[in-house]
Amino acid sequence: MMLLLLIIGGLFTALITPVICSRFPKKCGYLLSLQPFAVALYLLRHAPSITGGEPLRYKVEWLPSLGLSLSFYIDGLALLFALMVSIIGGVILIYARPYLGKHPDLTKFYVVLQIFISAMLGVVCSGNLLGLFVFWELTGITSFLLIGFDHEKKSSRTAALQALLITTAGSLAMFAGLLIMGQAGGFELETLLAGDGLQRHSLYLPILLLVLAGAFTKSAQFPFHFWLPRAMAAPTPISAYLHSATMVKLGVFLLARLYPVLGETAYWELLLMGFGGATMIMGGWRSPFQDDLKAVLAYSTLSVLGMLVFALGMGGPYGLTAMVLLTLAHSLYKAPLFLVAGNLDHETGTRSIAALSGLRDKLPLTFAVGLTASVSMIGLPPTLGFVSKEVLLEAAWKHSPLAVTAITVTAIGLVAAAWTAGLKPFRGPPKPTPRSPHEAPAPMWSGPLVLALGGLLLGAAVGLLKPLYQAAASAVSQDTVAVSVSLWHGFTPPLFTSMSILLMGAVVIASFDKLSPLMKLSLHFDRIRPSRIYLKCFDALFAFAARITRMVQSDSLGVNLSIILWTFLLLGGGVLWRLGGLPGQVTWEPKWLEIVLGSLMAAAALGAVFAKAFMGSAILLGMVGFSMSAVFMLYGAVDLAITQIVVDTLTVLMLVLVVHKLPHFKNLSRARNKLHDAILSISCGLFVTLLILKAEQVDFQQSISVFYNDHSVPDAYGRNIVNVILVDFRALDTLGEITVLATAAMGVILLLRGNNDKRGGETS
Amino acid sequence: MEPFWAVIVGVLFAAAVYMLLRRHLAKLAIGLILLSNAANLLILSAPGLVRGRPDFVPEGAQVLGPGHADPLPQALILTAIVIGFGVLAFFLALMRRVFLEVSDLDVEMLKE
Amino acid sequence: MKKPSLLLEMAARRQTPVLLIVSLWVLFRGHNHPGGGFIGGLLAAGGLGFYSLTYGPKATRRYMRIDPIRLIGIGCLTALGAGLMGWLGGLPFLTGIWTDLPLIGKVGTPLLFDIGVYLTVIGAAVSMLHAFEEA
Repeated sequence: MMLLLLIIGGLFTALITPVICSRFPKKCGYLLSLQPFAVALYLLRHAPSITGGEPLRYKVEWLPSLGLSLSFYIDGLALLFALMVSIIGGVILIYARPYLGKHPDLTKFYVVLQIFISAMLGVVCSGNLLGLFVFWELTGITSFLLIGFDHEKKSSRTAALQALLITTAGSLAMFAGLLIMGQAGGFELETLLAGDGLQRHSLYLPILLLVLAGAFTKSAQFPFHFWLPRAMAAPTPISAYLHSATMVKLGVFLLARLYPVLGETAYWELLLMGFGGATMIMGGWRSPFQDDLKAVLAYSTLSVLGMLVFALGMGGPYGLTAMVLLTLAHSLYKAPLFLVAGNLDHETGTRSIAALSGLRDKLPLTFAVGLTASVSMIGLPPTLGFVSKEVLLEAAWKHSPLAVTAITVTAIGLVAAAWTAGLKPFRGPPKPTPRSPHEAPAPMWSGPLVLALGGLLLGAAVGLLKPLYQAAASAVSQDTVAVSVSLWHGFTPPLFTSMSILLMGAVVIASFDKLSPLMKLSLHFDRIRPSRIYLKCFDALFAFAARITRMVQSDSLGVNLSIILWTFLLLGGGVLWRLGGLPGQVTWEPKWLEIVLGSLMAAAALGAVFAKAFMGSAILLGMVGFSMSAVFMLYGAVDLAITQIVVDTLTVLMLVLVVHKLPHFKNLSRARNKLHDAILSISCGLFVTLLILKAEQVDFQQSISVFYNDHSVPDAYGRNIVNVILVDFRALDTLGEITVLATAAMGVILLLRGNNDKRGGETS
Repeated sequence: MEPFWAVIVGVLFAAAVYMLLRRHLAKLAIGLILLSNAANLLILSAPGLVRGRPDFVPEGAQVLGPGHADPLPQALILTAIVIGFGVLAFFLALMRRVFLEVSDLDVEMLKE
Repeated sequence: MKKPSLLLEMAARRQTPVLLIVSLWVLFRGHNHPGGGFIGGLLAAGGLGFYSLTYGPKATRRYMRIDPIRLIGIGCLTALGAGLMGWLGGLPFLTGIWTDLPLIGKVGTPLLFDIGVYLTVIGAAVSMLHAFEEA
């Protein structure tokens, strides 16, 4: 229960956030961060038992008939991710307060961010595939809202929409994959993971492709990567948190989670290493040559995401351990680097690499954060970045020379990127910037510093992490993974590779100015970029929709109605034909009372059509109504007869009240139109008549009224069966109907109120 | 269903559709009223009509004997009448508002 | 508003209370005899509408002692509450609950539900008429 409260607690704190923010405008960041920190504390308290092999479980049945339950299952992997989400989440909540300053939408920001934290925790802790999907979608929606936070800028809105469309398209495919998977192996994660896996299932390949579509779009793998750099339109704390440390890793998380079910096949290896490899090399080499500080970080994030997918593709004890350690290391250095970028942007007013220089003295503490984090990103000992890179290289050496080459090439690019993002702005002589910089307030450097130092110290004392990463890797493979990591392995091939990476990285940094124009030139060659294809498809979709709309809908009500009615005749005619054509012989014994009533009704209706004035029509309509009432009476529907009479009176009353305020009838239609309308309406009437006669001759099921008749007196204590149906058997319908009536009344009142103001009314 | 009523329903439908295709908004209102009457008559007669035997379980009895009208369509029509009244009122209010805004009741004039 | 004719005035003054009482009678016997919330509500609305045509909406609201718009909300909530009673007792939403009262007989939540329908119909019909009159 405690677990449930903590995980979805953010949804409740989001509700009271407006109060907190207006009561404690200065301290709200700290107050709100208590929730994620409480989650972290709770998890840490249970960490020993989780890593010891006792997962936390909690389950509430939600829709048992659909296999949907709200169940949580926290093993090593979930623990790792949940800790990252909650701790970094707390830091971001504190950081955002001074970063956004007096922004008018601060409260909205906090509300959405807290919902996001809960959704994230929900995904990683979910014990059920469908529950996981629900939370997954929630992260997508909150991400959309946060990217588009600056909603008055068109670029923000486009970026938000793009991210939403791409990730939801992927997650829809993934949903299909999860459904097939659930049918094949069960929706509960524990049963699924404990099963034999689906690698030999006949639908393995479709499942894999569908799930990969979701994971690759969420984790921004090539060729779906382009939404991530655009998503940098979000405020920097959001970029740090959603688009680097947590949400974009969900794709990786899902693949890791499903590793025992789908992993370790030839397809898995080929697809993950292929797409992951392409993403990491592309990102790693584009990253250092961007001018926008956040773009540098975005592309390097892409690169690391690719690396994680690549490591999962390689698999094996080393590959999985590398994936786990790299995930942690990346969150601990990339989030601080983003926040450094935020500080620089906040203090100088620019994010351009070319404009930022020599800020070491002005922002010493921010520099400390940047330095610590970049050291980890570069992969120098004794940081966590170094350790994870060593394990990754170890895995690559065990796999293939090709893997080693790909990782080496990427890592060289990342060394240069770390230099560009974390060190370059602080070196050299100071340059003038739009704002004169001074050190950022404490909440903006303390949190990032803690994270960055964490990356440093946990690398130095990597032995402390051993239970966590072993438990996480074991949870991924569902088998004991006992890879032990230490700073010093002896002179092994990975160490030499690592050293040559650093060396080559230094060369790239040294010749940066020569390489830079070359890299920028290469950008002009890729005309068929995926983002262009996306834009083409996007425009084409709208053009297509517009064409369809123009074809089937016109501005004219009459034309639209005619189209609908002709279609009705056509389709209905088809049905009639399939049922065996026109109705057979009908028998009819004339009864005078019926003939009189019916003819009266028909005559009054036709009279209302041809009446010259509205008043005449209204009176004739009254006659139609009273004949209806008589018909009801004739056939034993006493309640209906009374209702009809009263409603008819009220209707005529209303018509009279309206009519004297309206102009007279005018002859508006041309003769040709009238002829068409007459043909159409007569066809409709004829068709309805034929349909009724036909319906008589087709067998239908027994009426359910037998039930009402049998139960009305014994169970509902009423002898008026019609009334009993209304207030008891089908009371829900009646409840809906009085709601409709209430809504109609509200509409009438709103439409008629305030005659003087032009736009006072509602338009339907 | 007596074939006679099928013909009457057809006539009501034809009249209603013709009015709904007119350009004057007030004529649309007339079409709406005729349409709801036609539909009610259709529902009433669908399960077959029984003359003069209302659905009241007599005092002392537990169930209604055979040969009575079907109560379900009656329940449906009862609410349909009341809702039809609400919808008509809404339409009239809308028409009034349109007239106040553009001083015209020609549907074709309401295009952009 | 111009002064109503004396005949109309007399009629409205006599007829409206009668119609209201009849409507209540129709409402309460509706479960066993012709009638019920819809019919009762419409009859009452007819009476009040007649009154309002004679004396105008303001006088009618005074006569009713409550704004008909409020009746809509009260009615809907009454019906909803009648449904919730069974639900709170662990039964499906809108399940009828009955008790035997001395002298009166069977009383249950469906009756309360019907009262909700009655109030909603009165509120909706009368407030719509008022809106048309005042427009």
